[in-house]
Amino acid sequence: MRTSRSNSQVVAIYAAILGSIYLIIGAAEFITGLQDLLQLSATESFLGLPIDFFGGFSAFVIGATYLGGTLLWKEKVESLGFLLIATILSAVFGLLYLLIACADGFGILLGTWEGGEWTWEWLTSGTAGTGILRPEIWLAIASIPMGYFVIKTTRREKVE
Amino acid sequence: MSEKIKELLGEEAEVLLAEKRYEVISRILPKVLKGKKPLTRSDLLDKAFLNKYLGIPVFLALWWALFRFTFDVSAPLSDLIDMVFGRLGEIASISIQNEQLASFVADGLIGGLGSVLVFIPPIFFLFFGLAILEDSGYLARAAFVVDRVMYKLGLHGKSFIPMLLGFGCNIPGIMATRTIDKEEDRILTILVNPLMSCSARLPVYVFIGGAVLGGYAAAGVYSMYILGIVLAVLMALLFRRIIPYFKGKPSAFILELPMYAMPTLRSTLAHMWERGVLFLKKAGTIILLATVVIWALSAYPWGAVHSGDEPLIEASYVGFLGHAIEPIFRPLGFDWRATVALFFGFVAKEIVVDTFGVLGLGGAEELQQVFNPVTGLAFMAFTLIYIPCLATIGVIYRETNSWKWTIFTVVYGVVLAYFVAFLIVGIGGMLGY
Repeated sequence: MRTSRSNSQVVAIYAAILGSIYLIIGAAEFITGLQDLLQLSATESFLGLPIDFFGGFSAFVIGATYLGGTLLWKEKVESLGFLLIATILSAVFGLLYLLIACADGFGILLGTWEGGEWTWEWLTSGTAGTGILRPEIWLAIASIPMGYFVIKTTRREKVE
Repeated sequence: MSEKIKELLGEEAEVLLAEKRYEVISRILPKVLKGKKPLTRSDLLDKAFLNKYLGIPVFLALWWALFRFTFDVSAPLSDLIDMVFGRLGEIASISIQNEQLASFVADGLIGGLGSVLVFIPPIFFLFFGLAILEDSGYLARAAFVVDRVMYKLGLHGKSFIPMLLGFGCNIPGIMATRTIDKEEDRILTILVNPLMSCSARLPVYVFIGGAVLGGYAAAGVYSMYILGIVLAVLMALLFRRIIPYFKGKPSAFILELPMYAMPTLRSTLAHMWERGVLFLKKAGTIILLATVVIWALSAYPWGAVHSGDEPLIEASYVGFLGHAIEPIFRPLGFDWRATVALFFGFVAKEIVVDTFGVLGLGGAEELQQVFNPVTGLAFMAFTLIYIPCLATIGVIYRETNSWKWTIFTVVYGVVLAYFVAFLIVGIGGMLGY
């Protein structure tokens, strides 16, 4: 399937928006994570984002990969590869943080068997930092249209 | 034969053959393919996965995802196994009348088996994630993008995967060296793999660092991971330079990249099971046996240890052992209790923490009586570097099929651990700590 110029431009703009959000979130998580690791100061979360050095790095990489796909604006079909990988990474991390939140919930359930009290806190805090409020989960959902476009475009064996 | 070819042609036969093959391919292609070459989905993926700038960061991000999946998602399952064995131990100690038999079954057999089975979820999760990466065709790309860096460091490109696996557990890391064809490169990777900080060491870092490093606890834990990587690279370079067996450059890394494929659940689970069962068979038996032995050493002589209300471990064989070894570790600032913990840690690193608990040093205040910040950091470094756990030693022997390399790994680990810990204590002393 050939991508029309207008389609390519819309997708490139969407990739730029997603990429920029990932970059900003990644940078914030990375910097606060670094501060926390090095104990430079009492680390405070930036806008409620998780303090996560490597998680931030990963979000930054997803953002950079999305931005690598914005060359689709110039109809460079190679950039579809960047969009495909950014979407895959986005899905991987979205699913991962969702699984971690579920694992936290399961951990609390196990705690109740030992006499602990059941709480719903795992939904908003826990190992992933902010539970299911982790922005990467929601950005993965926002990446679904991108995934649909890229998979549809590359479905045929050859892309010209 | 291959040496002679290399001498005559100035390049390894494998490299020459590959170069010639691709030369022929590139001559034929323009003749049979006219116009602009269409891109397949596989080509598109390679544009990004093998990208000069993004290739390694994408790999690191995926690796981080695997790391978190392995430990965070599997954690409640480990807790569940721990709970089940804890209950079984309680039931055994209540229902068995004979005190010694009850202690053997509850603390030795059930406690020992439980301590092994707790590691099953992270191991299986790790193998599950790796099977996905491998079956999808991505792992071959990962090895490809890091080859240049590893080659400069004196390690084979394929060494990177086992090294990273070592962060999860040294056992699958060492087993993964089977992908390295040249025996010298494979052995070298096995030798330095135990320096990668496996997950079993993390409880020790958190336990000691949290108690004695105060606000620098996180930095202390982080520094251990960095130290492990730096030492692994340095030791690989050193071994290649000083041990004749490793002399020369690592063999050329020729890799024909497989096509990407969607991994199926069935094949992924099958791969996970194959590798996981191997871990259970090879490592589980060794750890279990060692745990029972440690129980016996800490419980006997029965009369002396159990003469009061609380067991007097100092009067056990382990107590004697600790006092006997203590003088060696005195220059590092470790007393007999720290020495005993290190001795038990030979079996599995988590047992270091357990030992402190048994010795009544489970709290931060008690630990501060044993360590100051510098000796605490030195103890963490020693735990990182010295003898890998018993199961890892077993796997090193099986994979190298050589007592020589197995003993060498143990000996150089202890010497290096002592040297690094001594250095930390010395520098700390000079800085006035």
